[in-house]
Amino acid sequence: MAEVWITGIGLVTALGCDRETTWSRLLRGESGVAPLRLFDTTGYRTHLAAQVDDSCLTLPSVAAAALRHASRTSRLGIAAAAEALTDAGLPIQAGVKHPWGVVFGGGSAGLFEAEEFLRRRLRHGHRTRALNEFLEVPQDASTDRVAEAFSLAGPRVTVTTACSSSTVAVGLAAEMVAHGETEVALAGGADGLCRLTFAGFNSLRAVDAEPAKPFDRRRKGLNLGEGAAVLILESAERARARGARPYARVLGYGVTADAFHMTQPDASGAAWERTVRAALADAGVTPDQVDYINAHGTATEQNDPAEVAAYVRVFAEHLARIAVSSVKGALGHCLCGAGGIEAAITALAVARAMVPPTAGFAEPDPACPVDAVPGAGRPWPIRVALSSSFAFGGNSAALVLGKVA
Amino acid sequence: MNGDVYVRAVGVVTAAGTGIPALASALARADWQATLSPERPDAPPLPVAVCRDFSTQGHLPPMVARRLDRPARLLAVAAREALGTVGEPFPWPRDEVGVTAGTANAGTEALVEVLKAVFLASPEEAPPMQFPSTVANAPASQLAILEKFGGPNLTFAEKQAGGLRAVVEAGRLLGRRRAAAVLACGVDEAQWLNAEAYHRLRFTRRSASGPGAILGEGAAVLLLSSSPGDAPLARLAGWGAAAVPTATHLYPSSGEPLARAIMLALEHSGAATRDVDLLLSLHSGAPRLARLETEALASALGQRRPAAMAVTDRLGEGAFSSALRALVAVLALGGAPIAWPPPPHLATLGFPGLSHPPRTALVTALAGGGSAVAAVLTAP
Repeated sequence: MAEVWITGIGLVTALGCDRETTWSRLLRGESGVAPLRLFDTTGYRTHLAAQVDDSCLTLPSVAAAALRHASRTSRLGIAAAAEALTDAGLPIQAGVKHPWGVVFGGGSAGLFEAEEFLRRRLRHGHRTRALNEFLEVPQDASTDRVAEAFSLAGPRVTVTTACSSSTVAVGLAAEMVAHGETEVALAGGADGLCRLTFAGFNSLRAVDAEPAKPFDRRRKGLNLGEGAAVLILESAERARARGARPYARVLGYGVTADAFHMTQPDASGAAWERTVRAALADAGVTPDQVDYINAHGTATEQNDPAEVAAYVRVFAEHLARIAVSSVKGALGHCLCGAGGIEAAITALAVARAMVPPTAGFAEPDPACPVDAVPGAGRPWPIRVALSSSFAFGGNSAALVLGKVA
Repeated sequence: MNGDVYVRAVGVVTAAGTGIPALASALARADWQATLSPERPDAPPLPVAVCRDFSTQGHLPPMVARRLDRPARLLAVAAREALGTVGEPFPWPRDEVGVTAGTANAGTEALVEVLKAVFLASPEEAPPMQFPSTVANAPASQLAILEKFGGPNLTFAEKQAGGLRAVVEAGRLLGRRRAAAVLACGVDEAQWLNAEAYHRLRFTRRSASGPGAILGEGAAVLLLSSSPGDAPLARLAGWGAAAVPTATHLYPSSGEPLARAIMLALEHSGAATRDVDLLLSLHSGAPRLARLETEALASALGQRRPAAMAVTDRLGEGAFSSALRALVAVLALGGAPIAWPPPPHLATLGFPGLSHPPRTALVTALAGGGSAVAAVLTAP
């Protein structure tokens, strides 16, 4: 089984159209959460979200044909993939099919555009025109779009496990590379804001009307976000041979279900403890080797303490020296794209020996006894890092990344 | 493949009825056809093979059924049939039982209901009880909650190939020891907006006797394990997947990715083309798909002409249908009498109907967007 390296990263978030802008603003403790401009929020209970600037969706380096009728979500994915491929030094040659795989977490896909169609369809009946807005409803549409944009002919898989989707995608892609199913995989995901998720999370009262405060005793819920991340995965042998620079190694991943409730976590943390232990076991590392946890950290009242309870169970006394931060205070909760974005941030943290802060965190909660990295990023040597995602339906996943020796 | 993977049990809900006996009865009748009857709120019906008489009564407690939407109910009932045949005590720790599911449209009805509230009433009227069902992984998650299965719970979106993707990914989970057993599933609901979209794309048939696909509704479940148990139904011998860049709503321009997936599956399973004695055709009634399958088989199987049969042109297209093809292959490997003939495009090429129990079955799927999956199942 081959060692798998991350050799390229592309990021599009509310903090920036690219990896370095996102990373530097994240380290400064900035937040991309602001009044939502994508659609009219009149009538919604809350009005904030971490929206990607429209300028990020203009993609001059991508053939116009590949972008025709592309949804907002697909454009996010294509932009992140373009940056990741360039970063990895894998040039895309026009007219050449590349045997590389695409493994994405799929979520809202083209739903934002389809909502417009549905609005008209509900009001005007079955003769409503314009089908193009409906073509990217399937959750794998953005995966297909990325493959089409870059002529990728390798295996294509779309995981849709809600908020853990792209965490699983990175783990699965690493497994496919490790076993030689594809020499290179573009792994991650994209998810765009839309009315359905905005209305739905508001109806669940899971959204804070103010900027989210993960692990803070004043927290009242999450802010939704959007974005995309693509990680280029390849075998260490292949990467070395072509002189590629690695960010981190993918050591393993764990995936479990808590079989508890569709939207509520098991407060004891026992279910998520199994996920983390499965990930560590798959990676062949012990709790004392972990130096950083990029937490799910949604900032909901129930989620954060349940998550920390799992870490207390797994890491025990070691937790006191582990930095635990959530980027959702800065980037919002990007749902099916979140795990990929957080895996990318974690890989950058490993490579640069810096941990990002938890934007919004200022007042510790005794129910969440972790070093949540307030304020700004800090230098932090990392041997092994964990990136956790917990999703609707109790579908949990954790990814273990390590420093390349 | 890392270790053997066995099919230990199966369960199903289709337009032929609830349960394996209903499906087997339909498969034994050459003239069986589904009644097509999807309703739209304001327009003529569209061609979807609906599970018209489906009920959870006798399968799920009413209080449980009430909190599930239709795809979750279909899946739960099919899964209960499979689980009911493995006996007591339950052979695996429930924390080590996973679920993989492929779906093309689970969540659409809930999505429409939530957006109806948003658009026609007010965003504040969005129903919180229905919102969690809008995620495609809801049926698989509800199944895990219902049966207390704590293993990996993964849903895959790959349009028409989603169900077969779920089967092969279950094999991967077992091979990597991430689970002791996995319920590999396909599930779809008959949903008017989804059917309307396919109809507008001219994918579905426009008249009763005209060309084009019918869509399907149902759930197919294969319980897979790395241990054979006392009476395994079949072995998942290998699989392969390939893709070609294609617009997400179109089939690829050639059968090349399907051929590649078939060849990878044969290689992975250690089988030669001469070993294949049953082909579960992916024929849905769509002429383009028939042409692509013809091309792929010519490339992957050469002159080999195994027995062939189609189920998707009668029970409907969707993600669930590719899992259903794997399930029907398992029934055939077990000697179930099957009277459904090869599809016309394969009959013309000399592919015969099934006349005796096969030993090795090839199951394939090809999705809009250009991805293909193939699996080889063998008699135990």
